[in-house]
Amino acid sequence: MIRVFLFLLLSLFPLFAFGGERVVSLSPALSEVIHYLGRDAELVGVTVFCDEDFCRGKERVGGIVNPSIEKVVSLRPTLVVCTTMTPERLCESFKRLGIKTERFRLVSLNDLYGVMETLARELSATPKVSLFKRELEEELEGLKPCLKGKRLFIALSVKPLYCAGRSSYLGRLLEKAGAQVFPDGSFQAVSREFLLSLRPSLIISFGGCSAFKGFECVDVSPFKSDLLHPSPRLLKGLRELRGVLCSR
Amino acid sequence: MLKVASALLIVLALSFLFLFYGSPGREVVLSVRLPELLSTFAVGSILSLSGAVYQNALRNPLAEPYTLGVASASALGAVVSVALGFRPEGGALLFSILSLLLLLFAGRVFRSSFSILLFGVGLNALFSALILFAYALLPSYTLTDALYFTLGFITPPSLKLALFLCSISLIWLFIAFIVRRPVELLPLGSEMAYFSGVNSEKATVSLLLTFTVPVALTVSLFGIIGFVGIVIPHAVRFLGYRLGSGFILFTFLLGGGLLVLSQLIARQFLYPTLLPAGVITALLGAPAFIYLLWRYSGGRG
Repeated sequence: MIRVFLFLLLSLFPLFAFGGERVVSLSPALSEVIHYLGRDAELVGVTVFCDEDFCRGKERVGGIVNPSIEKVVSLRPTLVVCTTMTPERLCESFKRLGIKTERFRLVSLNDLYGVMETLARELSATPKVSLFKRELEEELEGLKPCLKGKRLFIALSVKPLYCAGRSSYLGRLLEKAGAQVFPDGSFQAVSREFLLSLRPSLIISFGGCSAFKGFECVDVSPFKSDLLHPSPRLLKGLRELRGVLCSR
Repeated sequence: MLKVASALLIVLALSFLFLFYGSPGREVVLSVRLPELLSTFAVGSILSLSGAVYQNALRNPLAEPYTLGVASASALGAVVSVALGFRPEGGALLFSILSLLLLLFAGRVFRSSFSILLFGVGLNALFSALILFAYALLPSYTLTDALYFTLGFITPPSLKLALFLCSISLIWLFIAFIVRRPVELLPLGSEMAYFSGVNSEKATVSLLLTFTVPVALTVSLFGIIGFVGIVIPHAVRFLGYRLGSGFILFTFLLGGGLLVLSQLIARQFLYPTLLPAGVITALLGAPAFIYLLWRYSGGRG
């Protein structure tokens, strides 16, 4: 009986070990979504930019824009996921090699919700969009006392002055927290003169505050990675933002 | 003959290294590295062969396939395509053809190789400015496709496309053998060419147009890979081949070899992060070019 049990265990072990998907993620944000869905065990390859704990020990396949195709192929993935940051030509190379490839646009909050739903479906994971939305609401509630009524400008870089507008995911989130985000639109470069015309009452800067003398400015550069990844990592970023904004 | 055999041997050794470096699996060698090797060699040989023809036809040592605005037109086409939501390759090919037509127009209007060269420089500047203008307008999430194209990354194509590119490069090698007489005579001046039975104006325009076609094709597929077209013909002349079949064959082999070496470095230097092959060719080519310039100008006394 023991022998039969051992035989069955050994025969079925490969099925247990390799039963799930083998996913290569070419975007740190997508890796974080997979982690949030509880499927990081199926993640066999990540980019060199994945700096979260769950990425330790995973195979690195290169950058977001320039991963090594042969490294990805050698990992024998069943699914490659990437965003529009990865050139279409590369994604098509994977498809041509017979690897299922999903390329997502990940710019707005709705994009993120869509990505979470699709990946949950692809990986047969429990959909967690509602949970994520709830957690997001909680974090935004916490930010409301410090942001309500503020005319907000989100500076991603200083030279050139590059900002996240109202329709970017960051803009939409902070509008939900009660701020009025300027300018309209998504991510864009603007002139210093235009910034002055906006008359923001608060600037959140990812590039330090020395260039914004005369404005009320909060330096959030230490939390850049947490706030600039359109992924569930935003929850941590918003918590950190509340810590800085509300403790002033 | 011995030199050609050595060049062939070097290319073969490089190809072997390119295919089997790091002992990859059979699947990687066949489906990734082999098409990459074939297309890289084809692109390098096309660029260097066209560079040699351009330098002779325009009687200018700085002329290369990109001088007349072909590459920047192609890059602009790619950027416009991306902005309109299409694939970059189609727009790149379309705009390279447009640059070809402009070149034909310049050939009819200016009739002097120097004026055609200056016209190309002007076009190059105009297209480059338009590319930067488009970058400022493109949303960040589509910018990568355009940037990837202009930086000159070599992505492994399908084996079919790689074989097609190889045959294109061989066809143009054959064409280069056929037109080697005007290519040899044009640098001697229009009078000398005329008395040797070559109409220099006609020959210049037809050579430029003929050798822009494969360049337009390669640029539309792999983006801008500079310095191969400018350095290799000079290196071949430095090795003692200035005329004839030896010059053409050596240019073809060394051009392909240099790009294969560059792509190998681009692939392995920061493995698994891939570098643009265009950057490596510039890093290898620029010092080599300065050295050749120094030798030509008698820098070694």
